[in-house]
Amino acid sequence: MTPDLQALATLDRVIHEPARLMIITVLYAVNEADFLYLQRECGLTQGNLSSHLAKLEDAQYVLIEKTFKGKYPLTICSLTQKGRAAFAEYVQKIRVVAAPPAHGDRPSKARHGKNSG
Amino acid sequence: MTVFQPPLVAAEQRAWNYWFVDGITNLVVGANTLLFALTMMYPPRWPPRPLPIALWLVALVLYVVVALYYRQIVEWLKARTTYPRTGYVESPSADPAEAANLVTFSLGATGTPPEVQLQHMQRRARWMITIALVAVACFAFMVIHQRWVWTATGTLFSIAMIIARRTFRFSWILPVGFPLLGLYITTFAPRHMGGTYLIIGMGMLFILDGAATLITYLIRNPMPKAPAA
Repeated sequence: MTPDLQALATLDRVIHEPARLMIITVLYAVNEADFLYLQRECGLTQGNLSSHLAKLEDAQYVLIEKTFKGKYPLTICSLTQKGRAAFAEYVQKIRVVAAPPAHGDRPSKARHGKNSG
Repeated sequence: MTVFQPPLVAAEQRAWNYWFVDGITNLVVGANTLLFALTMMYPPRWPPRPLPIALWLVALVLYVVVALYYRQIVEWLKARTTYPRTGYVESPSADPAEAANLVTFSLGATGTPPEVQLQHMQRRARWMITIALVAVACFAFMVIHQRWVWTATGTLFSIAMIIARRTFRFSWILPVGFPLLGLYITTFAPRHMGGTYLIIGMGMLFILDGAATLITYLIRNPMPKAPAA
């Protein structure tokens, strides 16, 4: 494996899972949100969201607090400092992976066609 | 063509929009604007009479209280209507109370000076200016919806509406209602009550807008039978 490709192997697997990536993205953008809001935003079922939040909580990326707004009970989720740092690092790595090649690095279409065909 | 928005930006934008999704913000702004109008309807005069003074004081105190505790009032109302239905997300980082005051005072400041000037003009001139104002308002409406700003023709009204659009969310009721309100004031309102009528009209438009949005929201999002979590 080349060192460039090795960067892919170091991606945080807790965040890399699509559902958890959605959850963390929402929580990174807003400081805190409750279970229902996350469920609607991410389009996940209650059980699915619960299990993913539990994994994120185990990794100490998400803080889950049960509180009240008026008489309505809320399960408020927010990112921890560790979670924010992990997400920022993940985004940085993905940016490197997805960076467009420098001009001239990519083989031309004709040459590519010749090689493949 | 669909414009791609990075997920982080989209999530932030959706959270910002969520603050206005139920119309409660506009309802509170409208109510507060009406309180402000009450203070204008009963200004302290000499010799002092107990009832007008009492009304003026109550309206003034309530106006200041609502302006100071705008966020808390909105949160209190949302906790009973919005959060049980569609969930809670932290309110936007930019202070909506500031935005509300900005919108109120921008629109007030925009409407009042022309209205005061118009009181001293001939009927024909008033009509001409009214038509011009309506044209400017229509132009502002188009500018807002086309996301296109032509600064050379920017008027106080269009600037106020653009600021309002960026800091607030409202339905078509406000852009349509304001020119009609201006038309009514310049043609039918008594001369000495023009400013008060303008503020009352603004408050009523905000309340109408908020109520329409709230009713739509409540119909679309019925209360869930069991708590989500």
